[in-house]
Amino acid sequence: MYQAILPIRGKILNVEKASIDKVLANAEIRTMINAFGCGFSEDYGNDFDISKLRYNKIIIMADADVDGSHISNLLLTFFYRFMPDLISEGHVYVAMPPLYKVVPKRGEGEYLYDDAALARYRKTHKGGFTLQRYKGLGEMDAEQLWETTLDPARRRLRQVLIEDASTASMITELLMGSEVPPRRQFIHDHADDAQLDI
Amino acid sequence: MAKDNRPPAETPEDHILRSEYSELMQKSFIDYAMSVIIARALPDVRDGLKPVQRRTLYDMYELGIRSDRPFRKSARIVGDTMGKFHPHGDSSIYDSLVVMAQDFKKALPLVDGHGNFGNIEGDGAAAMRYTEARLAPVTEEAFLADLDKDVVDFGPNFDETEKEPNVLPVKIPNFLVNGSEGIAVGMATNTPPHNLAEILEAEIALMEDPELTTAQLMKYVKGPDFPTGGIVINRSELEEIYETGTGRIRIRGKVETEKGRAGHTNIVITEIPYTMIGAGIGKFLSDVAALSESKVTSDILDITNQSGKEGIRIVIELKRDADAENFKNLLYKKTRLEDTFGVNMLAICGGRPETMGLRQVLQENIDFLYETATRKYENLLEKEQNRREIQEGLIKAVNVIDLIIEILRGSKDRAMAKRCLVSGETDGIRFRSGESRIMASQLQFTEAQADAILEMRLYKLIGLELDALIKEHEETVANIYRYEDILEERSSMTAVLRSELRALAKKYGRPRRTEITDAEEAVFVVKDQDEDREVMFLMDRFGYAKTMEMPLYERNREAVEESYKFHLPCRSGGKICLFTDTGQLHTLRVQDLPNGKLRDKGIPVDNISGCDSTKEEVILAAAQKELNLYRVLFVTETSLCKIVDGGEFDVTRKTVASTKLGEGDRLIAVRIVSGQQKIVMKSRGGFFLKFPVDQVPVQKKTAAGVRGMKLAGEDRIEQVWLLSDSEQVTAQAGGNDVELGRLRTASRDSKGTKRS
Repeated sequence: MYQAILPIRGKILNVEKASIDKVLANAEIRTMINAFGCGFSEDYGNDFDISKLRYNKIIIMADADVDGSHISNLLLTFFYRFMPDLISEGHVYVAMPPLYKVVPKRGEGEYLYDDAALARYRKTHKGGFTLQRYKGLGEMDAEQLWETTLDPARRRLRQVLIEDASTASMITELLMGSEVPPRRQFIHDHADDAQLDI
Repeated sequence: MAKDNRPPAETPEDHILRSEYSELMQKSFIDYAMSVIIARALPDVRDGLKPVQRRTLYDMYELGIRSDRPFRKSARIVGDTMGKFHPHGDSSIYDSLVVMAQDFKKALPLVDGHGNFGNIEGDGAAAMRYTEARLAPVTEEAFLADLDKDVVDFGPNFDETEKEPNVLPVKIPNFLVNGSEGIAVGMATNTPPHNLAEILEAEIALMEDPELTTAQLMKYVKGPDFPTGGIVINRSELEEIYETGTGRIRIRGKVETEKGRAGHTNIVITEIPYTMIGAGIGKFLSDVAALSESKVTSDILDITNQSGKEGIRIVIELKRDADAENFKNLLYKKTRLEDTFGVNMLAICGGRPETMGLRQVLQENIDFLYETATRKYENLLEKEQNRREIQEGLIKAVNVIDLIIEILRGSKDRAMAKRCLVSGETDGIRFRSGESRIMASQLQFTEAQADAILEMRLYKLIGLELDALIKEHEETVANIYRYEDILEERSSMTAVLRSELRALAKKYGRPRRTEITDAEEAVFVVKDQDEDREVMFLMDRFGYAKTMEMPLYERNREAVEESYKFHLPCRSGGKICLFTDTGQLHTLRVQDLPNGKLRDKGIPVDNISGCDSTKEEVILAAAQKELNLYRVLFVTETSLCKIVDGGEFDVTRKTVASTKLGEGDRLIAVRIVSGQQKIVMKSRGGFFLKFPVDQVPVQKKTAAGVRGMKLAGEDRIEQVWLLSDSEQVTAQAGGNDVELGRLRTASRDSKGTKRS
């Protein structure tokens, strides 16, 4: 089993708002196109060929905080607009790093992947335990990162699929496009669904 | 980078969840957007602070970096805040600390900075390892004072190792006083700063009469009060802005005129508009210099920026005969000395972003004030009640001290003695007399009283100590009475809050710095420039025009004439007439044109005249003054021609009709006639007619003209030449060269000869 890691620093360009020249001039995006090897489909160029894809799984691995969510959004937008088949054929995944590590006074430490798991743990475990909240992948050392997020036997992935193509395009434009009023309305309507990271 | 050469093995070990793209996008987006909105970019309406500011101030409070203690290194504050409360970048924490200390940015600086905290011209602060900071007195008094009295809720920090306040118990409407600035997702906040004393008076007024309208509140709050001073010039629109929380405030810098050396006038800018803070001043200086370079004004002799630690002072030295008032208007009009401040009073209110008007913001602050005061006095009351209980216990104990000593000596252990004090249980205690036992059995101290008695020191029995205790008790009772009154009577609480607010206003308020007025639109009058000089008017075939200095033109003559369809000398203070094929005459002022080099593009004439190049084509450009000396020949497609005195086009209007055109007709040629010339007309059908120009009658510009060449059927005029005798011009007709000079001179209104 071979895996490759392509480091991307910070937030990439929002391709929904940028002109194609700007997108193609962007270093991070060019690196990704080259690394995937399958070209891209958008107006000119249009040399997308999924059979040339060099990796079976493209896994987005971002911090488990809201900025990480935003980075996932930006990357997904790029994949959706420039390599939609990558998503529809099920090659795109989002890694799910653990949110917490709990180490009880006695016994083995454990990684928890969401808030519900933490709530369950609090209920079932009497006695003290130390809680570490992972705000970023940078908090883990190499061994931890392997056992929680990279090891195929233990990691958790979320596969991104498109079943409803028309909604996908609409949502991408709504969330990432340059029209502000509809986005504000969307935020207003969904404000209560948000999980805040304060 | 490794490449997986083997067929991709599906790994059943992977724990894979499946998500629909749209749902995942929505979920992550709303998490991100709301987190930025609620917990990053927008302030809470109650304390007017963003989380990073609140955390920094709370951290300084916790570290004890008070206003009466020595300064501490900013880096310590930043590091401590980051480690305890704000797990984000150190630069965002330091930036917010710096801004809170800048007195030109904040109406009420919350941090007392020591060292280089940047300046109004946009130079940044020194690195955080150099600068030092401590809390400002007002921050301690009005922001943090009651934090220890459990007046606001605390929540866990990011790793649940610390507690932090969800909101600071701020007593003043900081959201209005210091304003707000922040870009979230899908929304942004921008609130101007206000005068502390005015805001507090308005708050008190609204507290006493909750029915006050925005207009009534504006008796106290005249408008924004920028720390940079300046002038607000749209007072009449402020009520609308304060009513809705959105709008545009127009602000100007303050300009004075001073007598300069040798009879010159100096324009001195002593206050800049708030929006010019930062790089704006440098931009302003270069904008003014550009006004001079592009010949918009020639009044400027020199410009110097003499701003220093005493304040802003930008001096523009004008020429002796310059009109200072007019020049001021030029600055307002063409530079950011007049600017707009886009208001959007958006803050977090009840966990949601909301745009609020003045009244609502004040009301939210009043509600918060009552809420924290209620919690504060409830806690104080509880404490005083506990104290009263102990005091009463002790006073009672002193009165029966002999009995208590007997109980203590007779008890086997502390618990036994306490039981006796609390419930009069005397079992197991040895008393000296039965009387004592009976008295002891009647004791009814409370638990707390009993504990206090058991821990009482013997010196408390001294007479003076007892007096002090009784006095203390009286005070406690008075306090209890007072606190109960405050909690039960809203008017009492209002009175307390009012005097607190008044005290803050008196101590920290300062006179308003921004003038509020209604000003006329700045009008910059262009006067006839003394040095009305000759320049070259140039316009290309796309309708882009500019002027060029004559010497420059002479040097590049060939290139210019090749690339510009129209090129003619004109006066820099004059006008250019543009004749179009639809029979319109558009005039434009030469001074509206940019003065450029060979490669400069110029501006579309459409922008500065009534011309619309999508509908009409310019066929002649001429300087208006020159036209006076000549006459102008018009020829239309249907062969109507006339000559008009150039003086008729000396009009002041931007657009007039230059001739009368029939339906579907258009002008083929408009030419300036000079002397004895001959007209040659060529029709599409290949007919040529040449006749002397003086056969064309001179008519008014409103006339339609007379027939030039007799046209057969649908034939139309295609081209027109105006020749002097010596000119040799060759035309093309059906593949043949036609030497126009050799054409026979005929008379007007004949058919001409076919040459193809």
